[in-house]
Amino acid sequence: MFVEAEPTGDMWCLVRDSLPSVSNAMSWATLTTTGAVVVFSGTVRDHAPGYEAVTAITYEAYESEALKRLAAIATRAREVWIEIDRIALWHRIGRVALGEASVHVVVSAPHRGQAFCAAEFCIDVLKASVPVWKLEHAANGTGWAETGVEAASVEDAARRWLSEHEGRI
Amino acid sequence: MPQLLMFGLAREVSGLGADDFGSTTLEELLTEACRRYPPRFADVLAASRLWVNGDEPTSTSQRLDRTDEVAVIPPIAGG
Repeated sequence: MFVEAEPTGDMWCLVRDSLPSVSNAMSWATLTTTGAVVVFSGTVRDHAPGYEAVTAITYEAYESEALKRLAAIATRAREVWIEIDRIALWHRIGRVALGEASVHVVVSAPHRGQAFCAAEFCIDVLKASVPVWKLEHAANGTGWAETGVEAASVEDAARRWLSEHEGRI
Repeated sequence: MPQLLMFGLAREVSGLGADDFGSTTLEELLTEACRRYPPRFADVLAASRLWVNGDEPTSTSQRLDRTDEVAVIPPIAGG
């Protein structure tokens, strides 16, 4: 039987081959104090550098560390935007078909400014620090994504993001 | 004994997701890994980060415990 991993307090982090519907995270994130829920979904698109007519991406993760890092990102976001209500960070692994979501970031807060900012912070830091790899399945072949970046620590990626967006916080 | 975890291109080149080593330092483990796997593994290693139990080691002379988890982290591409 498929058992849903439960949220931990005000954070809900998942790394798994099948994700619940994002509407579950939106309902969970909406508290009586909430005035804004921002949802970012990253989806599989049909092109990438070096790959044409992409039909799917297989995501691979260092699962235990990816999960730890998602929690560290959510914790850091809550320290920066202290009014945040809840954060869900979900990354799918395994084969994800064209048009399907591979990642969801859901942030709720009393006001939209913080929710937008924190959601952008979470996805940017995730891409810089969480150990996940993409195998592109395309018309011109199957291969590892050419757009990878050297994995930074959550702390370093967060510090870099905050200094680059200083005026917005 | 320390375990080496390999992901993405590193896993593809070595043919293994995880392997056990009798090495007592990180340097020894990496030398042995390059001996065990195809020559291309050394190139993949050079372009990857190394983690010990999820963190970057201070140096390759770092001693390894039998429960340590060393990971080869090629450039990441999540999201």
